[in-house]
Amino acid sequence: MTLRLAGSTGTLHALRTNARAWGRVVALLLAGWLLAGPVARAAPASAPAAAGQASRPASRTISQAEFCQRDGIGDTLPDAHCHWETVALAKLWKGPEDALVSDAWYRLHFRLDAVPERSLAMYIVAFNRTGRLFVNGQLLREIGPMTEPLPMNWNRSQYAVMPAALLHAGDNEIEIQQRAYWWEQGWLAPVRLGSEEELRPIWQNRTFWQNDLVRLLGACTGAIGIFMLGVWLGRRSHAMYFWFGCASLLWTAISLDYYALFSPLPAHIWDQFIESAQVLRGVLMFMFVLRYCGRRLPVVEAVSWLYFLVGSVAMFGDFLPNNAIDIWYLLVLLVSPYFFFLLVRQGLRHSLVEGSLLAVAALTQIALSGYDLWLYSAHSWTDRVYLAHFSGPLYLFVVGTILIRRFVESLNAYEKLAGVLEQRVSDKAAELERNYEQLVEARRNEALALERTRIMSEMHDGIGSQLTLALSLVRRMDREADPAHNGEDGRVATVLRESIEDLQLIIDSLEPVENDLLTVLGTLRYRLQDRLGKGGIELQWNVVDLPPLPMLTPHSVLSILRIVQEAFANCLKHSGASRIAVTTGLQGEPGIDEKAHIGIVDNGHGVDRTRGVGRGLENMRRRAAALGGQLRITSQPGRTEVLLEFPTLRERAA
Amino acid sequence: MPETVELPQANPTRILVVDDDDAFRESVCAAIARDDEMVLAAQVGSAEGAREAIAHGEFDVALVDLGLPDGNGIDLIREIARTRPEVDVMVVTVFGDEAHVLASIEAGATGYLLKRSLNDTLGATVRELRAGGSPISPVIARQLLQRFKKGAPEPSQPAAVVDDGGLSEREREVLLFIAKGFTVGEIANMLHLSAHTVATHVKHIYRKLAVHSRTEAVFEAGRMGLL
Repeated sequence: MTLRLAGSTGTLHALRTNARAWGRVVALLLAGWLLAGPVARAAPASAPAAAGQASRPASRTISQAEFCQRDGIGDTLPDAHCHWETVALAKLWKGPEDALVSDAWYRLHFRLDAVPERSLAMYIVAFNRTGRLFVNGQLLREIGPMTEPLPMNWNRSQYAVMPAALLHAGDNEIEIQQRAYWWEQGWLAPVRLGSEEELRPIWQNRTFWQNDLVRLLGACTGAIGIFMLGVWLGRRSHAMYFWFGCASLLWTAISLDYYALFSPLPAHIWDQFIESAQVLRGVLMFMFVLRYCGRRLPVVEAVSWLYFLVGSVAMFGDFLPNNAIDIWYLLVLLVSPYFFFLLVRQGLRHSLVEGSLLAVAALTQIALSGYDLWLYSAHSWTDRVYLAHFSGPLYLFVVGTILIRRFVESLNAYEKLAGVLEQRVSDKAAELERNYEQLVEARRNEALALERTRIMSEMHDGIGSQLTLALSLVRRMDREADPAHNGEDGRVATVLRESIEDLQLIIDSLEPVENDLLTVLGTLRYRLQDRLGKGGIELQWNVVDLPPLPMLTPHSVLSILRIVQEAFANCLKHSGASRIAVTTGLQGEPGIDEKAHIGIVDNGHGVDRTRGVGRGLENMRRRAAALGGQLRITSQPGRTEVLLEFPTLRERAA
Repeated sequence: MPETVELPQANPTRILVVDDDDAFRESVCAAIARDDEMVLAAQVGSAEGAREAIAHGEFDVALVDLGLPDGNGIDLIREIARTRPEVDVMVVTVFGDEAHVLASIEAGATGYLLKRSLNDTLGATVRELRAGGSPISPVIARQLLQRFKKGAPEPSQPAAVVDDGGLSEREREVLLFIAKGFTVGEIANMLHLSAHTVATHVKHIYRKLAVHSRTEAVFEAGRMGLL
């Protein structure tokens, strides 16, 4: 598609240097009137209406001239020795190849019924390469410099104004000197005469479409190309940006040929560069399409580059005949539909919008190329504008937009990914920290377990056994001393039993409870079961399961056990209750102000404040404070509640 | 395990007492003598005497103290469990702590008693045990759950991992309730079972742990090239 475009403009250039095709190109360039027609027709309406407008002569086109091609160059009108002949315009000619430049002269005749009131405009849609315009022997205008380097005028229409003073009634003559290089053709399209109001807008219009707009588009593609190369510099692995950037910049260089007054290189080299650039652009776009599709075809790619290089060397060395240059282009043109197909298919894979845009750009190019081809084959020297070179920038814009969008998309994706990664890293860090804490805790627990085992075995075999033995001895002595003993422990036995029970509590607090508060409370219940049963007290286990509480270290477990045991002991000793209920619960926000609570509710006659509950209660409060919590006691006959509340946040290791 | 047979009243439970503490032995013998359903089979104060009794004596329940002057109570329990599978072994501990109790259960014990309250509880515990039920504390229940899930709690010891198939869903449920402080009676109510069935579950679990521990030991021995 771009290749097709490259091919079509390439064909244009090929025709420039191809003698056989000359006439057709000039005809193409002249064919613009169909397009410019509406503008031209509209122009007079917007011009100030002159009084004598109706009487002014309508524009006319001179399409016949006397033509003379002189030997060498000369700035004066050749005399009768020159071989003057009558020719139809447009006229194409070519100078001898032994001189760098050569001249041709034209004489055009037109009649005026009277000297016009105002100046007369002259519009020449195609004029190659440079020259001078005379009216009735007076120099009117120099098209451009007449010495090396000659200006580039192949795509430029010419406009001149003949002052009324130079004109006279009856026959008038326009003399035109034309100068061209040896390798190219000079040409003159039919010359149009008319009022300034009529012809100036037509000329300006054409200049805009054929020169100024191309300059603008060239600048845009240059900017895109530089941007793409910049992207590629940052991301060397994404070769498609490189190839697309190169193709865009090459387009910018080629567009110079359409609007620059002077070629940036010596004329002959520039013209040859423009020829080879058409093929080069084809190869670059081919490379781009392959990379865009994520494909590599080393052999095909090598053959393409070789094709370009061999052709270029042959052309620059003037080994390549003109018709061979045509074939050189044509082959590129023939494979281009395949790349067009690859490109659109890849675009559709990515998204419907992308594929559609590419297809529209490609179809536009095909349509415009077809239009140009029609103009070309119509051999018409009208003012119609040649269009295919506009579809190139359109195509570049579409692809450029898509690439930029991709670029932005991957930036966005990257940022999102970076966010996700950051999240993951912080998650991992938190996890590591947790693992480390767990490891530390496991180590601590292990050390604790070892210590616990040692102490346990000491207590079991040592003081525990001895106290138990002592208790058993004291009980026997009590029984022997008093045969009517009722089984109640005496004072010594009670002290011993309570000592053992306290030891039991300490050992229970060291047992592995896996941070489960219910296991802690359950252990106490299990120990008290017999005593409660004997006292005829029903225990209601109205507990709610709680999550593991890391604050349940042996230290805090012992505090809880002592508080709850004291509460039970009070119930058993003083309350006369027949029923005790144990409740548990959680409230507050986990990790912030979460609190666990344990309630012991009995149906006894309430706390008797006259009796010495004070000290036990004091101890309980102190232990609750050590847990960071508090104790609430509400008592009335029939319902006494001891409520222990403490925060579940992990205890700070001392 | 063998079906538990309800013993007729005419056949009192024969008890073997192994303890190096004379006063304690005496006190236990007195307690046995007070109870019509129990009769003393033998009382010994050393591991050697115990082995003798195990080899020749007839008894239904063995009360074993762990600390003997000439041997380890655990070894005795293991020996009884191996040679006299119909006998129920009860370990006598001072505190009923998890370390002592679990080690005994692994060796083959199915019950345990607190030394200081033995006088009061011996009769009831022995009857319960003969009927197929074993005592269990919340801490031990929790440790059993751990043992059957992850293996031994001490990281320094080789993990005795038991398949999840080791415990039935019901057994796991019972252990969980006990670990949360519920009594056998409450669990029976919640699961619509008899209290006896729940207690039987506990004994089953103890047996499983013992079997598992033996398998584990055999496995370990095999791995170390001893077998």
